[in-house]
Amino acid sequence: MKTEAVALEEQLTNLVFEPPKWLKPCLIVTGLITIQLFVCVFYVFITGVGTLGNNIPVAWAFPITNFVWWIGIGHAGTFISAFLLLLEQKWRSSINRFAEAMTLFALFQAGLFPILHLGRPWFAYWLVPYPSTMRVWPQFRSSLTWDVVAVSTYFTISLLFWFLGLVPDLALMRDRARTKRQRIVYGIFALGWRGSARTWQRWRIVYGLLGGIATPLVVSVHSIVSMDFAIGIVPGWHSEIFPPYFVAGAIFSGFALVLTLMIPARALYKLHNVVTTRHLDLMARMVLVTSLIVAYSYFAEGLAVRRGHDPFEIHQLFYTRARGPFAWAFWTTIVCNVVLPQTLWLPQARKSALYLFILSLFIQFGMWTERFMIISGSLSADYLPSAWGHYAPSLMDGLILFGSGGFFLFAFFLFLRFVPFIPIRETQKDELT
Amino acid sequence: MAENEPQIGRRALLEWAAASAALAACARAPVRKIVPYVVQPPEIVPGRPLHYATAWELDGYGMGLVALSHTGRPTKIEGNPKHPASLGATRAIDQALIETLYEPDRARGVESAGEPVSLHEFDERVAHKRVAVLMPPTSSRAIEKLVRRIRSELPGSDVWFHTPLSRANVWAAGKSAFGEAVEPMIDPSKARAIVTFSSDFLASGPSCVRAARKLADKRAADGARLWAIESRRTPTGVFADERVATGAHDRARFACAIAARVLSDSSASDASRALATTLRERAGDVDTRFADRCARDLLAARGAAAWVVGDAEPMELHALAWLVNRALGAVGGPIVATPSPILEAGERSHDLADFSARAASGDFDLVVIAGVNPVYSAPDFDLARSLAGAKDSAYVGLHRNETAALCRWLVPLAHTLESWGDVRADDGTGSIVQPLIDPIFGGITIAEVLARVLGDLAPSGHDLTRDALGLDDGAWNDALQSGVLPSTSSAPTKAAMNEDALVGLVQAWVLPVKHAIEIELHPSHAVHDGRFATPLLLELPEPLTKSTWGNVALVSRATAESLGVGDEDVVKVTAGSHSIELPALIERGQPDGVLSIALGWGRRGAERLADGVGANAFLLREALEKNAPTAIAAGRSEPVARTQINIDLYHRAHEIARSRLKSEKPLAPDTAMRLSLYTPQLSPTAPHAWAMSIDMSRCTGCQACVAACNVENNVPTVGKAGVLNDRDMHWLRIDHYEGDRGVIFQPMLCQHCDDAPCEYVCPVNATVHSPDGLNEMVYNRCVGTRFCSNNCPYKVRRFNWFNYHEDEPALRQLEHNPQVTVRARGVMEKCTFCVQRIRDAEHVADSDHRALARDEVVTACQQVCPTQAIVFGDKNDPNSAVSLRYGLPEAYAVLDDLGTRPRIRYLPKVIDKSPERA
Repeated sequence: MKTEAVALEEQLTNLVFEPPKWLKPCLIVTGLITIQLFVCVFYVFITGVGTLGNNIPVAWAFPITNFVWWIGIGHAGTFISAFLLLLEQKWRSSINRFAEAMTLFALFQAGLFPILHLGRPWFAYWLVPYPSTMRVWPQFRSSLTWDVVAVSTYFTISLLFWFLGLVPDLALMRDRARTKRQRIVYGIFALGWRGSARTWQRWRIVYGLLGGIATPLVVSVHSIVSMDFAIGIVPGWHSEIFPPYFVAGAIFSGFALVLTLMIPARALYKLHNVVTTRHLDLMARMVLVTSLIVAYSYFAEGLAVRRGHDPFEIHQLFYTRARGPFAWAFWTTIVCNVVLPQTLWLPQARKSALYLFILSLFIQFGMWTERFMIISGSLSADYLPSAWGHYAPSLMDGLILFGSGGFFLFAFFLFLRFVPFIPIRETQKDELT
Repeated sequence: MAENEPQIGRRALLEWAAASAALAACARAPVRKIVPYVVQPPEIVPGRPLHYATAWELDGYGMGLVALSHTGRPTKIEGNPKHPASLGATRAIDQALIETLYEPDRARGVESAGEPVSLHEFDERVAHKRVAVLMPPTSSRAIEKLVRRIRSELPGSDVWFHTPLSRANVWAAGKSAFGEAVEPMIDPSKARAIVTFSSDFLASGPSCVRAARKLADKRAADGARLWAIESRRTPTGVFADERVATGAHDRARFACAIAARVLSDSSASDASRALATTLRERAGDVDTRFADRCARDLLAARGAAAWVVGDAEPMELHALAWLVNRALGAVGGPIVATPSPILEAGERSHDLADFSARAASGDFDLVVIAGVNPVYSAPDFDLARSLAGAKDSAYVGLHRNETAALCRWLVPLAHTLESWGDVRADDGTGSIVQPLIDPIFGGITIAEVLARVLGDLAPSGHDLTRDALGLDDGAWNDALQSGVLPSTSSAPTKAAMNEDALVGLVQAWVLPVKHAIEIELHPSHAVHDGRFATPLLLELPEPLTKSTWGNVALVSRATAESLGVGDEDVVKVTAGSHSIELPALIERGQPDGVLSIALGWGRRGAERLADGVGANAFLLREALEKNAPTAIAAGRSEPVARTQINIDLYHRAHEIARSRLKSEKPLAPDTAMRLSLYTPQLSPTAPHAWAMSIDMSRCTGCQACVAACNVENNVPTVGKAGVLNDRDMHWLRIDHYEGDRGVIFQPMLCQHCDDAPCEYVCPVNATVHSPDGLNEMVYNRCVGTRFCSNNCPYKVRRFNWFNYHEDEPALRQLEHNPQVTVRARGVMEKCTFCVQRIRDAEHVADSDHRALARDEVVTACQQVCPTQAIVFGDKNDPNSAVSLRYGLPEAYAVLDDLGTRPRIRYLPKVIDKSPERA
């Protein structure tokens, strides 16, 4: 029994101490893309948001779409770690750190965009309630103010939750360190962890508490993000169904991203014993369930609009969206988010890592187009036909979206390189008992 | 002792240290000295503009203006209410005078063969020499006197007049009718039925402002039906109750058909009745029902019915119009036969061919071209050869344009706001042009050029004008103050109409040939004949197509299909040896087979912004006289920068743009109950409640309000790429919809909603409500989330995507209204209801210890509107102009169902179809 535990411990710590050869080139490539991202961001900052494709009427486009998409993607991490922790789903332990890191890095990306898209980004702090000498507070009726609170809370809790879960493993890394430098660095982050029964007991309580705090955030953050649109007057935005609809979509895309990242990592690190086919199967089931919720939301939104007899909304949903210039986004969304996930009813599909990987890419694309369709598509044609316009992204829009993907992966590769990405202690406990 | 020691605690010490460090770190700011007045002129109060009455002439016809000057710097043009051509309003073009004054590409000094020289050298070159002068048509008494003197004192010298948009056909017909160049002046206030033949008399031309105002008033009072027979849709055509789209050939036949009915029915002479028979034959199978209805309407309104014919229509049609107008009893009623105020109208001196031939002959020591650009606008006259043949040539103008490039001398022309002079309106009323600023680049006026020819080497425009007008001090000062010379309007001609001559002309009329493809060339609504190459006008949307930055070929759908082109596909139009390429736009109401192309584009002068924008349709003009044009698809596309693309209402007419026939019963008011969970945020104690009423029945879509708003509020232009990307900045736009009953123009600006959806979504309180009902924009507080724009159902908010004022030349900066913030990058902006004017009026009233007078505050758009479609004022005052309209049962709020409670209410467009049709 003990040898098995030690073997697992060794297997998992060696993943960090003996990084595979492919990791370095990956870090270099994604690092360069990250530099490209920041060059573009700098350019936009000094020149103006006019370098993006936004216009009037489509004043929100790529940046806000990316923001909502990245935030949504992050949700699965919290869902897996907090929700499933509370529900005592033991299978979560092998994937939770992975998912939490994903949440965190996705939030990095998400946080970039609302600031980037501002006309005067250097005043972004005005959205934060701080005691200004001018005694001007943010305007609390605006959902953007709620956004700041929701997202910053979410980020803080996610960071704490992730780090706290990491502490016992960092201590293990310290103890197994092969060089002095490793010992010192891991030692600093291990916060003097000793692994006594009392420490473990306290850790367990705090971790559980944080899990309890994080759980409502899974629901609240994307609910509030959805209110950026739902409180608006724009046909196609102004819908009561948005909060649950967005949350379901967020978890849907989040699980897909876990699959996207986990499947290659599992293959590359040969972790089939840790991340088993059962894990894939369970995640695929989550994807299927959330896909059904999302599909129902599409249906319910259409139904509500049809029954509501508001000519502007009817035109928005059934003409502009389904047949207008943004129809490609609509039909991509339907295919990727509703049609393709139905294949997961088949057990073979749920158990095929390759299939799940490809499907997860489609889902992410579908979720991005869904947000784009809702945000920009609705804006492009609202009330006065005279003001209708079209939107085309600029080169800078494309480069920044691409760059944020690179930055995300760069952060992720750093995480793989330096941090035990499978919770060693948890896995030991859960897998071996 | 210890108690007396200064108590510097730790905190205070740190504060002092920080302050000292901060002071030490401060670099010395660059020194910029502002020199105050040593002796302040008594009339100047810094921050308060002065108003000067002045005038200017376009193609010879005067427009009375009131110019605003801020500490010696003109910043805004307004109409002069006392001037008959203005009545307080202006055209869009007049608004751009400020921009042409501060044009960075203006000629900056006298040059000879590209080398800077002194004006004195030019003086010597021109004085007492044999000089040929080509200048724009003018009505100036001062110039008239100088021209007379040149003709008598210097037999070797001569003067010609030229404008690309000549009224030669009008004058020729007038000469046949009355023996002198008489112009038919329309007075719609006396008309009950008007037929126009390709005449955009409500939105362009010297009297459009007055005509539009009077027609709108007359319609509102007791109705006047307007019939339009025209090619492309003009503002006048869509203002009309009945309209038919025709090419030139069919238009002539329509004229014949209607004239035949009128002449045979009325108590005209035998000759006229005989003519009616001929006309009936010529009319052929033209839409007889339309002609019948039209003629019946005219005859029913006999004495108050009139024909109005466009300047570019054939001379014979103008002649026929005189006959018909007389038969209808219009002459002396709605049509006034006024002798043209233009000097030597219709005479040989207005013939460019004559000038061109004489100039090339080498008879002259010097050929001077002043203020016109014939090398660009009359390419077929080959002035390049004439100028090459002349011994020496000089160009006097605002810019080094196409003509200047071929002349040896370049002399800067004084801008009209820098000049002394005098002009006459279309009705003959004189005005004094007074300068608001010294010539910025030392320019001289055309009168001063002529005086130099006569040997006066230090002429003063002021003295020349005063001498010519012969006024005593009191009259002179009064005229300067009021802007008009009292009782100077021309009396109607006393000559009797020579009916036989007119009948003869019409009998001999060879109707325009019907070609498979016809080209209609028309002046651009924005840049006119190309001389106004300013950012404001280059970006001013054409009234119907909303195209900016270039011209297009308007085609009907059927013609587009036969040519194999769609929107924005380039067509190559050829006439004779000339051809131009420009993108097509499919336009409703366009006659089949007719391509309408605006003149005034495709410039190649010194005005950088206009350089190469659009295609020069003047190239085709002469060739079209003799050749049948062709049009083929060029096989490529070119985007057209339009500020509005969608003109359909998608069954939203009731919510957005209401219209009805006059015969229908008035539309019911909105009675939906508005429930709100919020307490009204408006202060019940506010003394005023600012509101606006817009009458769509009065709007001609002329864009003057758009131009005035831009100038008043320092609205930036964004260029063609900006417009193509929907980033135009106009605070006020005129939406064009195809309603069920015809075109509707809907001026759309911030609605200043009582429950403004933009306000609650701003996270930083940058858009808030004032107690008197303004939706205010706090630029300093805006971080640019643009949520407000998304949440504005009217989409009237505009965003500074870049720092649009960043690279503005210093000269351009002078045009800004100092009372309005110049917005920086990254902030939202929108219509403020001219808040600077409201607050200014309040301050003035306050310092005078009085209440604000009724309707004292006038917004820029309201002020410039020729038809008074826009009325602004205090809704709390039940007798204010706005209250009277705001409370009308038909007044409605756009998108009323959203519960935004706008402060602007619209009145539906009412269309007066002829009874048989309705």
